[in-house]
Amino acid sequence: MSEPTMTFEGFILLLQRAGLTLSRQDAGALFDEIATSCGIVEGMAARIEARLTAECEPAHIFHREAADVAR
Amino acid sequence: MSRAEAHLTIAEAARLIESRRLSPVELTRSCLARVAALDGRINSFLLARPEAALAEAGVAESEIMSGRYRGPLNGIPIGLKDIFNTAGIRTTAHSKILLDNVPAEDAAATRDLADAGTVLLGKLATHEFAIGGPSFDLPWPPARNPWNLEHFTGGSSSGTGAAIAAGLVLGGTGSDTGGSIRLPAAYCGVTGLKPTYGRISRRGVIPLAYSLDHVGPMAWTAEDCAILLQAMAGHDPKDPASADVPVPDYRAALRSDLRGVRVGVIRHFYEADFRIPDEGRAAIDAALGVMRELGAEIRDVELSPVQDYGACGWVILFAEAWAVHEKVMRHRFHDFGRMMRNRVVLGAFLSSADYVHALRLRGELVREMNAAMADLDVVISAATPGAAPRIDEKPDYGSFQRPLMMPFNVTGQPSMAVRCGFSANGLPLSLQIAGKPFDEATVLRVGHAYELATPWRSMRPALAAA
Repeated sequence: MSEPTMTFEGFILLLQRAGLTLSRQDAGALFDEIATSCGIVEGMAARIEARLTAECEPAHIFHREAADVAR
Repeated sequence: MSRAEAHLTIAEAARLIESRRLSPVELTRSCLARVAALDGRINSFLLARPEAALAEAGVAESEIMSGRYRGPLNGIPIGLKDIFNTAGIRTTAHSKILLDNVPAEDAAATRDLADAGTVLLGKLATHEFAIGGPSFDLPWPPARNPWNLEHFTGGSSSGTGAAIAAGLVLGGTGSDTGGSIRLPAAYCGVTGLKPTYGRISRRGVIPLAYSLDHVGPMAWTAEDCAILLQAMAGHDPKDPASADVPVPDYRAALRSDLRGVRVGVIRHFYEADFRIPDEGRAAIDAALGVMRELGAEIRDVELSPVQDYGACGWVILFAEAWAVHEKVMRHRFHDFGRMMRNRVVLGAFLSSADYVHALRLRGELVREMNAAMADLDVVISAATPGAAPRIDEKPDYGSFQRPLMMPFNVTGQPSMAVRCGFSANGLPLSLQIAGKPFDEATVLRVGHAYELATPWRSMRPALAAA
């Protein structure tokens, strides 16, 4: 199982960036509760990046019907 | 009434109602009696509306007696997952946050089912905002599995799965962002269909993740899911994701055989990428044998590891769920249940690059799945990692690591959970059948033929038989 790479201080910064104003005690409790999940999600992001190629794009494809509507 | 009436399928009840051999009022009364007798232990209803339901049943009965039969849902008691807006009826998402929320308008699906003549018995339990559960720190307790009350229903459409399994309603609605129709259908031993993305309008359904949210039917059989789907499917210009694609006659496509149906088995999802218990694999193998006898052509198919689909789906889900909830969460963090906030907050820690990369991979996985299905009609995989765990033993992050249902949220294909046996401890085992986009008809056909050929649909929970 993946472990989170972030430190508690880094976690506090992320909470602030997210606009979540928790007390240090509440932040500590949250960090303890979600540390495992954070590690799993970090692992998911790494897994995604590892298998991408340059050809992978989040392109929005217009189909012929859409073009017909626009005409 | 009783057990006999409560254990009718929608199709069976509809035949009796249409021929005036079953009264919608009596059917509704008996379902309400079962709710009163059993739901104190199951917790599937957040709000029951007995008087209003009986009034609706009375209207249905009057219409039918005067020759205005609306169709196979006329007079059928149902329940709605409590994220479907209901005009004038509290809609809470099972959350303290929406404790006093009374929508002014129906969700599109709510309205479609009402127009079809259904009788709304009430609003059903869900995981909080369709993601946080089973939770014990919310205004209502979590639903429990009628096959064994100590076990998990699956979620997030937990109340719908439990209420159908217990014979409290004949059908209902769910939503599915990463398995939330199919998982409770599987654990509760009912049938649940996640249609193609955009097939049923999501307007008025509280969102979880915009690009992964699907609305769909849950019922005792595939045929009943076809009836419910028929009422809800269709284009809605007010839902940005709604697809303007013709809706076929789903029941007309049902057959008792599978001649000519090409079935792919994504065996590595549940044998190699993640190995489910032997009893689950044996049940799927036996089901494939039945399908072969019914005339299906069956072969294995290989895709990327299920974990690739899972990673892609969960990163998108967390990012979009954070976008949905961030404003309220900033001000009312502690008013959410622990499980819900602990999951949604994960989206706050992802970067924009993480989200974009997940979208890039999604395109690749969609292309892979389309290519694999070019000469197939459906693909089959395990629905769950095993039978329902105990409700107090479900890990917070179990679904993240065993994402057997997420592939079809990522691709948006229709997928249905169907019971295929029982575990050694008497809990349902299920498989899932996925089809090509907008080909729910073939998915339903496969599920229906399999259900007709096997004994599973005749078996109800002991509690429901009371």
